[in-house]
Amino acid sequence: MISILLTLILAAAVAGGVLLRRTSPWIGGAMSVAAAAGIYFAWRPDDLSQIAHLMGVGRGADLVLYIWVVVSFLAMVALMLRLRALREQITQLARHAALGGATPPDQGGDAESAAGRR
Amino acid sequence: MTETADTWVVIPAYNESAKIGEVVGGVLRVFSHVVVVDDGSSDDTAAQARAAGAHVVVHPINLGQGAALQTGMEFALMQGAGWLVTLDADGQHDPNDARSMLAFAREHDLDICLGSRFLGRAEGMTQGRRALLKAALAFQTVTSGLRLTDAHNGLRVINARAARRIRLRQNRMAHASEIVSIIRREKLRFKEFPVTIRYTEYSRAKGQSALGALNILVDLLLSRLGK
Repeated sequence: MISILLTLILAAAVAGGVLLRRTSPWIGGAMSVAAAAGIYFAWRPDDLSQIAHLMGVGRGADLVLYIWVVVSFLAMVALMLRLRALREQITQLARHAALGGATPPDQGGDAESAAGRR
Repeated sequence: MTETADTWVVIPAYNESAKIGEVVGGVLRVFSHVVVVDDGSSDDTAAQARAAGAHVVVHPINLGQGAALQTGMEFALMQGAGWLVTLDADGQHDPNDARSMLAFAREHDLDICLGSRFLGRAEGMTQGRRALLKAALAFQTVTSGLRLTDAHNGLRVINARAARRIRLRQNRMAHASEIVSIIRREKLRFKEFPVTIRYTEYSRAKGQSALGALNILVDLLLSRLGK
């Protein structure tokens, strides 16, 4: 039962990766390959355990967990950098708008009004 | 031409309507040109600043003090400023200190003069604030490689040539460390100058918390990761 459910979800991920390849070839490709591998291992969990043993990890499920942690961390850093780039663009846009709409002092000239005060 | 005629004072402000008029008024007793950058305030900071005699540039959204400072510097340069003064909107800085710093910077042919409360005086500073600043200072020394006596002091005097080379990418509070890094990278001629900071209940409430310091750390770390 779980194998069928996983296959359905991962098949959707493979399709999503293929679609994503148009905009992000590397991420889309990696997503498709990882999801396809997931489908394979959903039906052949013993193969995954063998790979895990080769890498010095006790169980296949543990290997998946470790990979998941690393991938999540990398994805989070990539997202934060993307957010930062986006924020810089927004900043430039907002700055451009702000400078275009600058307004002078109410009294019609700071130098003159300041001279009166000094 | 008076000694301050080519000088623009840049004040980043966010929700400072209670104090900004008084601060602008105080600055205009010493300097001729002031620009307040209203960083997307929800109160009438912009109107108060304009009424007090400042040019006003309004960010359509809140971007952070670093972004407001950069906008203000760009505005001042567009107006043909020869010198720029930056100071905080909460009234903790004395415009007369800024005038002394300007004279000092001209006399010593500096690119940038940084105010230092630890060379000068800090009135009403809590022990917690002092400890936080000392920690920030140690961090700044390590990350920028420049040994200063104060960190995150908003009172600075910058000549136009140096201001054109400053492109702040740190929108939030980490810009203070960024400026120090730029000084080092661009080999700007700089000196510190003793100034007096007056902490009031108002400025303490508006000031940075320990959580703010953590945000600064994260911002600086991210800036190291991506260019």
